[in-house]
Amino acid sequence: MGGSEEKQEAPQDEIPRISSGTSYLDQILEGGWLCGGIYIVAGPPGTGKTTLGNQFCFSVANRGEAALYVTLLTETHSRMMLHLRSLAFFRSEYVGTRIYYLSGSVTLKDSGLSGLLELLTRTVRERRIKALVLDGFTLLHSYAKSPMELREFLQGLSVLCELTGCTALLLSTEVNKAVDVEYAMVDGILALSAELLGLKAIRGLEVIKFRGSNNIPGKHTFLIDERGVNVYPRWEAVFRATPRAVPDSSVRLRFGIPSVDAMCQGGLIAGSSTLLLGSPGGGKTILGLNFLAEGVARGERGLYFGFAESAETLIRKMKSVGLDLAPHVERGLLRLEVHAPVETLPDAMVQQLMDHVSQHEYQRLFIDGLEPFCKEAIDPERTPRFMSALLNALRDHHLTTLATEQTHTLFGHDLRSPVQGAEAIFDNVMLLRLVELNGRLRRLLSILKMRDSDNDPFLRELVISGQGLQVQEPYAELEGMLTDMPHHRPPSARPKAPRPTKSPKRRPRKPRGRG
Amino acid sequence: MSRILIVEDEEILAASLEDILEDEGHHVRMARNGLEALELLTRERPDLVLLDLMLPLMDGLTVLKTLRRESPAPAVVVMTSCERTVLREVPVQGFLRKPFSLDALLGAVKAALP
Repeated sequence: MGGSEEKQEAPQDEIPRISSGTSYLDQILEGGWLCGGIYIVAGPPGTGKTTLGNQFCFSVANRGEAALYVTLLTETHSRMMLHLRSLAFFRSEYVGTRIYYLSGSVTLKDSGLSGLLELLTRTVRERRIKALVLDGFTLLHSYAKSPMELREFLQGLSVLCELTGCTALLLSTEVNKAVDVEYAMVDGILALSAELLGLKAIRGLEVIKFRGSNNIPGKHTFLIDERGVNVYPRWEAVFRATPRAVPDSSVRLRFGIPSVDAMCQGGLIAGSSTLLLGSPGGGKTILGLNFLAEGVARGERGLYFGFAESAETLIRKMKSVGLDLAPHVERGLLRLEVHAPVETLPDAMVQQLMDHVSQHEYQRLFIDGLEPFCKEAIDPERTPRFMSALLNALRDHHLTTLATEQTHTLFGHDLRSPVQGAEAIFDNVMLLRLVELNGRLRRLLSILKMRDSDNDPFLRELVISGQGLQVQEPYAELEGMLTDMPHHRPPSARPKAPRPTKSPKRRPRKPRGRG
Repeated sequence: MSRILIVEDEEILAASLEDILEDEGHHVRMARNGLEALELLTRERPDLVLLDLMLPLMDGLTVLKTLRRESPAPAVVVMTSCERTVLREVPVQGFLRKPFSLDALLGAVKAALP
């Protein structure tokens, strides 16, 4: 008895995993499918089930093992090949050598579910199949004489998979059958969907059930492109930890504009995040690129991640204010990464950004436009969580981050950030806006918030010229400029403002290690 | 009129091929898997076999090797999604890579028939 109890208490060996063929789905499944498991992949036609099933087969074939793809009244194999040929994972030499395509429809029609099971058993054993995809699983309902027969089929398949270590995906168009026998019997259920967000189709993936393992719950988005199915886990669900890295207020990263650096007490705190909030034309991009250029001059690699202007345009723009970025770009110290903000997913974009950050040793990052990250989200309420997780991850990569965002209005007193809660999420908020003064438009720069640091409380004009950027004396005789309604202040109430020309504490010239 | 055996597990494709070749005046028989194909080969002695390679119960290559041992062996046109290298130099009278056109099919059948 004691022995038996000891045996029960002994930790069970972990069931080995098999990659789904798409790395981020593996991440959601905490490592991939369980070897020998049976999974239902459900979704309406066109949601990517066939691509996902084939991707799994080719991934298994890549490891030198065999896969079997069985169709039941779906498209013909040749048509399927025609579609698959354009996908990056397709290898024609695997077809018929490592991946076998069979039609099970005649067997099913002639011999029912037991005949189909016999066919699967025989082929899986003979070919030493490690991945089985049954495409058209829904059809089994029509051929099963009773729920019991379907249960027996699944039990038989389960035994086969367990004995042979073959992992099976059953592709089904039925998505709301949670009470059905097969949904109770399989090891996991993955639901694929496609829904419209405005005019844009958003593909979603949800793990409804995953027996014997953790997974990242909830809905994730995915794209189907030339690489096949690419799943992007919800970033805030992946990066849940609070950052280990702590901003170091003793180390400042300068903009390289003495007057602006003085407003920030010598620069931005290393590891902090700063939101440049402002109207179009307020100077956000030029200020951010100055920040990167100053870093490069100090040997700190910088990444620009933007959406609106091409690299050539950015270089030309900075040349007009006296900064030549081209040599830094050519030397690889500065990377200008520009993405068209069309038909993209926030989680895909953040993954692209994090791939860059992980592959290179950047110290400074400038995200020029938060809108594509936030406005494209399926659920706007997730934006604060998404942004927090992104900034936390960047901090853990020892990056000092600048990000721009446009205000709702070009002029006027509505100063809300379009991204809900952004002011609280970022360590620092700098406001750049246009005001009309004496019949002329002027750019105003003010620091709304600097966490763990003093800062200049005055509103100053930001002047952009061929000589670069600089900020001017505050308009002591005016008030109400922040709300774009300047009016004269009585002389007795005019404050004395310091000249923002000295930087009290500067970041050492020598680049630091990343620790 | 020639006797043609179609060995194809995909029902829709097999049925279409059957209709087309019967329209062309041939006498057509069908096999849905490798074992059924061998049985019909012995019984029907076709002039031409249109042979898929990925088949249930016994694959097309095994069928091909078996019938190559027969004398006289029927002509064989392989129709497959696989690359030609899968045949491992086993001789055939025609090779159609799926998806193929009707002209290619009829051309291959005409060229392969004695």
